[in-house]
Amino acid sequence: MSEFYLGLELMGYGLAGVFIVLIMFFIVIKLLIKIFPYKEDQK
Amino acid sequence: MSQLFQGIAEFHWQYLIMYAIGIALIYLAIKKDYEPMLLLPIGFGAILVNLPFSSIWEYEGTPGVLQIFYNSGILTEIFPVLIFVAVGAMIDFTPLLKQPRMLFFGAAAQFGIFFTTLAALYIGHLFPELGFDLKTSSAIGIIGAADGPTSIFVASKFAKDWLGPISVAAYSYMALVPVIQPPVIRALTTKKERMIKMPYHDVKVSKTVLIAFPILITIISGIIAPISVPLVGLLMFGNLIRESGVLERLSKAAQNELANLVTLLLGITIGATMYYDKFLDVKTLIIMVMGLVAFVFDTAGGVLFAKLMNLFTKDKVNPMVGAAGISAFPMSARIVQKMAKQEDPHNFILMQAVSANVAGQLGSIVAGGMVLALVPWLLMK
Repeated sequence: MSEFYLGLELMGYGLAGVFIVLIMFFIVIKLLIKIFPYKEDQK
Repeated sequence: MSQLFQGIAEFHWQYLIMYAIGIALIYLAIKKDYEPMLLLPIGFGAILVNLPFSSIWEYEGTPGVLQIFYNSGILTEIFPVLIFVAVGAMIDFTPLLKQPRMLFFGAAAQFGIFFTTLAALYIGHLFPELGFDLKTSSAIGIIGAADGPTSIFVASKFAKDWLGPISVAAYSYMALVPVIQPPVIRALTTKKERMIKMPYHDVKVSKTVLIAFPILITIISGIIAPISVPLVGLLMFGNLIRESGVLERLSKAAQNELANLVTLLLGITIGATMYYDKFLDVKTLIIMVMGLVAFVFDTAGGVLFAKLMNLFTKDKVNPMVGAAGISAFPMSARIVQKMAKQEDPHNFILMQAVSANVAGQLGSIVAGGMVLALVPWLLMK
């Protein structure tokens, strides 16, 4: 059963990790859009 | 004379089952257009390796051509990572950059990976003879990434013996997304929810953002999960080639020649791992069922997360968009739009679904990196 508990830990850390990384990506995108806004003369 | 008939003498009846499986995969590829680029070479590879003496794999102690491909392309991870370069060159992140909040669905729809890992571990606990330890179970769970190269990459590290069934399950269910997702979405949403309209505000994205994005993502991923660099790094390398605007030839080569050549070799090599004494096993059946479970719970994870979000946000999300958070691009987004149109012919949520779908491509690779980083760490604890 110890492997099953490891699986539970994997689920907890794994899902949390995916969310944390994607939240960081979210912040990066928001910052990039703010710092480098689209200018009309760009193709 | 006996030399002429040695193939017949070496024939095993189980080969016939493998020919049937190989032909079934080729049929699905040709007649049903189910991931033909992969299922056709896999099907033919399965036939090749199940011919008497399996000389394509090994003959008189000398590795055959497909074993050489396997050793040099799969065991070294070269084939899957080259596919990542090609996929990166094909992905346009603009829809995601326009609606970054869709990233959350790309994360939520990875739920199936972890749920399936847990389910496989539980089955392994009930039937220890199956040998479903944490590594094998997570390699089975990764079918839920709905992303062939990620599944192959993780399976080649954690469950080499089961690379064939895992890859076949990953690609088959990706092709079956139009069949798998709608009933799950319908079961978890009301008609009213499926009719939610999402206003679309077009945000223009500058070229600098498109170029900076792959560079920054690589750096962040590399710092958080260094083991994920071959996956994320090479995907982003391919994307940078695409977005740079100065490497059009390389971008086209990555999208076409590289993708085609590696896919060709990858498919037939995976097919060659399907030797009957390994493949015709109850484990293969369990892996196929687990793959379906993974896709169902991915979809459920995305939809339920969207419903959860709706409890806290003013701008309601159509929960079906959550289902598009899996990596099967662009099929999943198309299904969501089709279902939205069935409920209300004037509802147009394709752009949001495409954004969630692109987020899913990123989410699946991040999830693959997490599994690669966490499993050895948990086992060493």
